[in-house]
This record gives sequence, C-alpha cells and structure tokens, in this order.
Amino acid sequence: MTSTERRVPQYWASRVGVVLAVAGSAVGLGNFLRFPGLAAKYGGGVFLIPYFIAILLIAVPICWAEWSIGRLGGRHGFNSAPGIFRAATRWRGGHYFGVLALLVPLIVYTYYVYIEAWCMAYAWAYATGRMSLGPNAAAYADFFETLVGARANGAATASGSPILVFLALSVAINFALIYRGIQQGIEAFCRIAMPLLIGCALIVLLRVLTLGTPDPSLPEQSVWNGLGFMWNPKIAPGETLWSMLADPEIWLQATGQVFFSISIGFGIIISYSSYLRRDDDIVLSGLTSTSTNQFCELCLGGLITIPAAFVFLGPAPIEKVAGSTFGLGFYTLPLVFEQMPLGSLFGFLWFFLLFLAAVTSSISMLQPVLAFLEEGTGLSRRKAVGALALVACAGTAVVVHYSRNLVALDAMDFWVGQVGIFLLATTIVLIFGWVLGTDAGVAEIRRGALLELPPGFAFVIKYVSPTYLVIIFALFVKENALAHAANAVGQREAAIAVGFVVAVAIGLVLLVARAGRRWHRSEEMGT
Amino acid sequence: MTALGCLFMIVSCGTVTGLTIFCYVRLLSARAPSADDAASKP
Repeated sequence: MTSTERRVPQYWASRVGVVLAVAGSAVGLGNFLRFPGLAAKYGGGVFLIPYFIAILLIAVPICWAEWSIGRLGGRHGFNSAPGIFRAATRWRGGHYFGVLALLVPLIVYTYYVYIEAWCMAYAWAYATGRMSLGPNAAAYADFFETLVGARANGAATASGSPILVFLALSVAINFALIYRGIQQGIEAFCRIAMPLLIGCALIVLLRVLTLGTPDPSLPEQSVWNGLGFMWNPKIAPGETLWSMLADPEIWLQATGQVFFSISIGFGIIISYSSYLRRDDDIVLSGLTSTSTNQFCELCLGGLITIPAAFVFLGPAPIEKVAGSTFGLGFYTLPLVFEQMPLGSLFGFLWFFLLFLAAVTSSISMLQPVLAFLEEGTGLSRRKAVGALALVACAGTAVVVHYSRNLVALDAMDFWVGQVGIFLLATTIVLIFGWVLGTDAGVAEIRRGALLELPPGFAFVIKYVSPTYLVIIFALFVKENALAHAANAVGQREAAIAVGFVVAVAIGLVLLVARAGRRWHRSEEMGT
Repeated sequence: MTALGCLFMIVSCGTVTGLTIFCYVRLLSARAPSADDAASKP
C-alpha cells in the first residue's frame, strides 16, 4: 500500500531535530501554567502520585505506540493519520480512523493561535513598558478582558483592536514555517526556539529562587514557603492520603494534564514520526522528548509559577485562580512581575518564552492536516497551505468574534481538546494493541532502537492502558459532559463553536473518503 | 516547606533532570544515520 502521489519525501535532518520538534509540540502553556495550578489545587505532592502513575501507564506507552505507528505509515509513503492508519490496520477502510487525528489538531489550532497572540501581545507590552498597571489586581483583569474581548462578542474584532495585529502576526509565522517544510521550517525553528525558551525559563527561575523574602514584614511569604505551597503533600482536614487518592477527580485531573501536556492523542506524534527513516530509533527519541517535556513542566513550571506568586501575593490569590490557566497566567503573574525588581524584563522573558512554546505547539497542529491535504487530495504545497489557512482562519474567526467570556473557546476546548484527545488516544491504543498486534507492534518499536523497551510493555499497552483510559474517560464524561452539553444548547457562542466543529468534521470525512478512493485506485493499478 | 514536600520536589525534579540528561547524552553519542541508512528508505 503506498501513497498515490509520488511527492518528494521529507525526513528529519537529525535525531535531536525530531526530538526537539516533538518536545516543542508538547511543551506549551500547560507546562508553565496549567500544571502548577492543578498541583497547587489538588494537594501539591499528593497530585504527583496519580500524575506519575498516568505518565508511566498512559503517556510513555502511548507515546511509543504513536511513534511506531507513525514510522510504519511513513515507510508506506504516508505522512497523515488517514493513510498511516490505513497502512497500520491493513484494512481499506482504515483511513476513516484518521478523521479524528485531523480534526483534533486543526480545531485546537484555531483557538490555540489566539492564545499565542495574547502571549505575543503581553511580551510586546512588557518590552514597550505598557504593563506597569500598578498594584491593583483589577487593572490586570481589565487589561486582559479588554485585550481578548471577553466582555462582549465582537469586541476583539472591532476596528482598532490591538489583538488583531498580534493574531495576524502569529498566523503568518505559523503558516510561513509549515510552508517551508519539515526540515527548513519546523525542525529549523524548533532547534532555535526550544533552547531559547528553556534559557529564558532558567533565567526567570534563577530570579524566582533568589527572591528570598522580599517583604520583611511578611516573613512567611518566602521562596522556601512558596516551594512548600507547591510541593508539600496537603492533606485536607478530616482526610487521609488514601481518602484523597480515592477521589476520582484527582485521577481525572492528573491524567487530563498528562494528556494535554505530552500531546498524546493529538495526532501530532503520528504525523511527525512518519518523517523518520526506516531504521531510526524511536524508543530513546520518544523517551527523550517526553522527559524534555516533563523537565519543562516539573523543574521549570513547577518551580517558577506558584513560588513567584506566593512570595508576592501570599496563598489566598493563588487558591482563587489555581484551577484557571488564564487566571494564573494573565491576571496573577503580571501582578507578580509588577512587584518584582526588574519585573518588566522578567515579564517580557516569561511571556516571550510562552509565545515560543505556543508557536512550537501550534505549527505541530497544522502539519498533520497539511500532510493530508497534500497526499490525500493531491494539492501542491502552496495550494494545500492556502486551503488549510482558509479553514483554520475561519475557525479562529469564530473564536475571536464570539469572545464573550471566552465561551466559544471553552466549548471547542472541551469537545475537541479534551473529549477528542481521549477518544483518539483510545483509538491509537486499540489499533496498536489489538489490530496491529503487540508482537508486530513491539517488533516495530524495537527496529533501530537505541534503548531496550522495559519489560511488561506489551502487557501494559494491550490491557492496562486501554482499561485505564476507558475508566478515566467514563469518569470524565460523568463529571463534565452533561454540563457542557447543556452549555452547547443554551449558550449561542457555544452552539456556534460546536456547529463549526461538526461542519469541519463532516468536511474531513468527505475528504478522507475521497482520499481513500484515490489510494484504492492506486493500489488496484499497482497490483 | 515540610521534609516530605522537599523530598517530593527533589525526587521529582532530580529524576526528570537526570533522565533528560541521560537521554540526550545517549542520543548524541549514538552513531548518526549514514547515507546508506538514508538510502535504505523505500
């Protein structure tokens, strides 16, 4: 089975290049804002127990499964999920499994690029000295809500709205990079952006860890206590460690964070790994990209965000916004930088690194769909980029225009960014463990491996990971789905956002069906 | 910060940092794919 079009095959230029590209795809706002907030909210050190279990039982095994399925598909000439699944399942209808792996990254991109533009706008505001809004927390909330248009629909798209300039720049950067291709665009950018963002984070970390006790009249607000607020296992009154761990919510949140953070179930790793060569290692490369992501999450995000906020604001404001990525990142931290010596410099570095992290993620969301348009419909790179830009910008326009309380963004994030990735990850695990088969799958992973697979991997990926996923997904649906379904019916913005998702899904099904017929004809001619 | 919190932090960050360094050292010290490897791709 081969791709119809004999396009010039693309490969990664180096091992480190692909690792940095995959790590760049994974490292994003979730590492620096969402993880610290969740850990602080769900018992600090207690949260880390389900978190590490989810990494071992879900993240790393699925990551290897995705890498191997992707490389296998690449060997058959496919770089997008529909073709890759068709090759992996050895079934002529297998390409339909790939629809979700196109829908998820495309829809997530449509709102993620808007958040990316916020980061650029904040970095610019710090660089030009416009973020000195004083010690009043309300001023920062006002700045954010005005910038993103959260007060009314159409506020962000009104004439003169500054966010549109940053959004246009972000979109242009993304499409310019993917147009340049795997080596010249994505890999070249990630080789610069990843070390740069880690360097920026290390400078901010050094500043935070040397803050001491900035206000001697508040000796309890020290860096040491800030680290304690983040890392101490906090057992709630009347609870024990075991009763806290018996609460499904903490498992749900920890697993959700691992998913969101490592980019499994996004359809990205499958596409990226299809650009590997036949015998390129995937065991060590997959582990390296995962550990790079975890380094950014635990050692940078975990040591910067909460301790910095604690030192200047104390525990109460953090507890108020701990579960909110945007609240912590765009309300609380600017207030912290305001009180920090040389705060404008560190504020700029912080939002610049968030912007870089966001770009390395958003380009990875476009590549799977671009690859599909090229190999599934036969469009040239230029036309495929144009068509993708049209659809992606339409989605972004929905998010930006229906910006009241960010309802449209939240709806897309829930139905695609959360429900979609659970479903896709389950599909991948089942294809790897039960359709491809663990024997063939493990043999595929071991090809060219620079590291031994841990014993028990086959058992975990076949039985443990799918069971764990199904249980967590059932809990997730039980806890959240009804409320969000009611929102989709009752709130106009949510209904429009869900309508857009459904329209794109239908369009993708039709395109995938057409691609399947092309590949079928090609196979018939080949036999 | 409690002793247990300190332990959680050191073990978590230490393990992840150590693993990351180990992985990059192994990755960079492994033989680079040769032109023959590249040519073997169908």
